[in-house]
Amino acid sequence: MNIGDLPQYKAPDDLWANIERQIQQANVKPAHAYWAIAASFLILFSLGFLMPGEENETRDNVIITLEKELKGAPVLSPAIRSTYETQFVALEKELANCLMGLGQDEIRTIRPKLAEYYGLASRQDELLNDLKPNAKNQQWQQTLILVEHKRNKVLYEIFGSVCPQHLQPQKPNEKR
Amino acid sequence: MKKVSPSYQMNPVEEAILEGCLQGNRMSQKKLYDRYKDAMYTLCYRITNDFEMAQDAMQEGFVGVFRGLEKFQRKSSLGAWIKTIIVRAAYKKIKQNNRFFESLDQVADELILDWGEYMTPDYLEKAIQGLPDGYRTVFVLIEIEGYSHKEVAKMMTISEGTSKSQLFHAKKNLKKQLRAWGIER
Repeated sequence: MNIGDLPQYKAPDDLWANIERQIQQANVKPAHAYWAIAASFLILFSLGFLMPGEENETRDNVIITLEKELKGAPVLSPAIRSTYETQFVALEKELANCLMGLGQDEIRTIRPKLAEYYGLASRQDELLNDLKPNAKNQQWQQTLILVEHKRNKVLYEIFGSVCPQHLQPQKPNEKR
Repeated sequence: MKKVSPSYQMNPVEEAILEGCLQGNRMSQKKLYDRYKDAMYTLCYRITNDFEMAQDAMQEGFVGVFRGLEKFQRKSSLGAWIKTIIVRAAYKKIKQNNRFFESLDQVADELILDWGEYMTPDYLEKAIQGLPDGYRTVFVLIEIEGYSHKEVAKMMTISEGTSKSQLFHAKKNLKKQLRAWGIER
């Protein structure tokens, strides 16, 4: 028997929630709220910035449900948050796959873009934390749209510079 | 001429996760946690010998990790840096519970454990769990995690001699226990 054969224990599932709460209490930089992504999609969609095109029915249903939720409740349901979280994770996973093939020099080159991307994501989060009082404020909406738009742009710029064309995800507002 | 220590070449995916964490991105923080959670939890448990204390150590350790990421200087892998913080958090837990190292004579640590064919991971785990805190912590860090006495001494603010003696007595205890179970030769 090898000492490396010793069993590994699984960290309890609820541990992250406690750690995350403590990080926020400890005043670590603002975190990115998943529901914020969903809310920004709704706002962009309703203002015509994000054309669903031939997106599948599930997404349409999610947006309809989102509209209902936002009218009545300030916080999105876990199911909807989870749906958007999955989509976003999938996109970042694709990016991670692309990054896997890069060398240190290439990574160093795109590091400023990655920093810009995450900076915009955090800014978007800050804005969406004030969603409830500002939802009808036009200036707030425009700022949010700009940040969201720029964030997507930077994400696709990163994809564009590091991924082969055939591996790049389709932009959400591209007509197929 | 001043010698500059080379920075550690990070895995590109980890580099991207680190960048996200430095920007306060929650998803990146979760990804970083997910990469290390089970290994670090196992380590915390082995040091504290208590699941509840291991969870506390994980919480304090990872909060420390995220607060201190800006200070990460890339002199080691990110994983090694995180592990050091987690080990300190777990060790702190033992100390808070008044479970100190026993004062021992300094001895050599060259005792060799030679277990026979009947040894299983479960037996070894059980034997490790039966060790006093100081013995167990040093045994886990050196024999399982691969740290040197020098590194252990620095992490736990003990002398190298104490680390060596703790390991010697840990092995002696293990030998005794395993022999009692008919496993050690």
